[in-house]
Amino acid sequence: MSWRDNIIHATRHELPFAAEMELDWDLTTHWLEEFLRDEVRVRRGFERAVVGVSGGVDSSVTAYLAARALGPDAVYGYRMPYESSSQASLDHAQLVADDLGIHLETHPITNAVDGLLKHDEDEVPGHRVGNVCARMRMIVLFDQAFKLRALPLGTGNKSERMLGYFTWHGDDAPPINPLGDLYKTQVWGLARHLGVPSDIVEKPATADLIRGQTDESDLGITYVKADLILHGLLSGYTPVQLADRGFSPEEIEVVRSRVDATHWKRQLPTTAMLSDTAIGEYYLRPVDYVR
Amino acid sequence: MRWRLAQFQFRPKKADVDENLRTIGEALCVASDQGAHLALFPEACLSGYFLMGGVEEVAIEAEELVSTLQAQFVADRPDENIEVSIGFYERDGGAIYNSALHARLGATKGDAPLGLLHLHRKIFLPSYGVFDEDRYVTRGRFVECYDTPLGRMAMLICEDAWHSICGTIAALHGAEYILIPSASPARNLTGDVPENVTAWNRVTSLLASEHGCFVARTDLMGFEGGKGFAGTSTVHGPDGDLVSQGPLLEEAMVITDVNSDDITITRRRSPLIGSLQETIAVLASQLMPDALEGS
Repeated sequence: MSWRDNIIHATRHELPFAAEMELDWDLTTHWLEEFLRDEVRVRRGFERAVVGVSGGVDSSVTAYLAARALGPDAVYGYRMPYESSSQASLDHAQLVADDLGIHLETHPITNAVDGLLKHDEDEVPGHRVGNVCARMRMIVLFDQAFKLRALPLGTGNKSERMLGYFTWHGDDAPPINPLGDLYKTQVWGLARHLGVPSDIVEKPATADLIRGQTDESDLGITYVKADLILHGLLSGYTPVQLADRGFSPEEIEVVRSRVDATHWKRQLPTTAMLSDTAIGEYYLRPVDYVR
Repeated sequence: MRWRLAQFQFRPKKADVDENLRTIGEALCVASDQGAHLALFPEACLSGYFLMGGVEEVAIEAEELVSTLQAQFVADRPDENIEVSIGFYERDGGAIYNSALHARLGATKGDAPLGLLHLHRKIFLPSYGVFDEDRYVTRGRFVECYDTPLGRMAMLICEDAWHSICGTIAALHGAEYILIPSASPARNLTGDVPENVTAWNRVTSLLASEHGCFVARTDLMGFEGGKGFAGTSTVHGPDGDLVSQGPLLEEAMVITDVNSDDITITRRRSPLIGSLQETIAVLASQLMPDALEGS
């Protein structure tokens, strides 16, 4: 064959979003199990973990990982329903506990939440109720952890964290979080790999704080698209470059504006700096530093 | 010359230098019992890697580290010798460095010197993404070779090895063995090993094959504040071939037998280092022509 009949074209790949998001689930599972064992037992000297099991995919995956890492008998799941929580959420949490053989208790938070909110003269809007519920659940979880000498595990994923779709000092409060660097779509992939029941994986994601609520209707974009845009933005692509890769300006703006409006939620409280020994500014030590 | 090296990939206890020294002392004894002539330890393994301002509180002087290791080893194995290469945060006067030292420990035998043989201070301090070394430690300036009874060696610490000029300088100075203590937090779990492990294997294999030398990288293991070090320590032979690799995310001591003849044979077959030595003067003048003109 002459070279004239053998002209070869090639193009360097353009941001293979989907490929980069596809993790090796065996390695990821192994990694997160080791992370949990290392953080809970080796570094911090605890034997047990507590998890708020909502019946959703994030807390289910966390429970599956914890059961594999620590053994089911060391994992204590808590259902903490408010009066508006759906029966399906409770049933799915039970399904997880039954499948794993972990402990499961139910601590309703309705009385506690309503006891706080009854002092308001006006009707409390849903998102405020949601925030109080999220923080109340942390009160329960941390208290139970203290009782059991256990550590609370967080269940928030990277999509929620980047979009600010969580309650500050609520569901982001636990000291150890295995899922916080996984986008929602990656949590779905891990859930399928771990054998989380399909009813849980396939149902629409919801914080279940308000009846009929779904994450994607709240956010105004699907996780499939939001995650790819997030991945692009965090990888250094500009909105123009993302638009050139098939996302609409509106979709990009939904994600970008939420990220840019919520940097504060991913930080500790702002402290007035008055000295050159200010904590977190000058005095810097990592979270696992112990002397 | 045939000899044996031991790589100890382990999970140091954060900021607990005394405890880690005990672990390292025990590992040196085990390595000696396994017949190792040289024991390699990871970067910053006296304290863990991510310390932020804590480096001020854990850094120790090189001579203090050598004398402590020597006292431990002689007490436990009074009739033996072993060489050690170990990464640690070093205090020298008012400065803190991310350093690695090479020392020969044990009983006095023959003419071989005991004590500190070489000290390398990390040159390339990563300060991007998860890294912030430049803020806390002072930059080293030199890539140097040194002789031990086992051969001519150079140490490069972690990112130093990613800049081919460091390996080139080491090779031009005659390095037969390049030792790399590293602390490489894993990221991007898209394959059967983390992406940085794959990248490291590529870098060290090329380093070995370009210069016809053995390259041994010894990595930390375990998690520090959510950031996981993979282990997977490697030895690459002078052809760039993978001779040994430690397990993923497990503490381990990997024992590898090497033969210096392999270096000679490879360089005879593929005399890249000879070509470099003949050409470097011409090329080096092109590295910083303005600086040379002004000098």
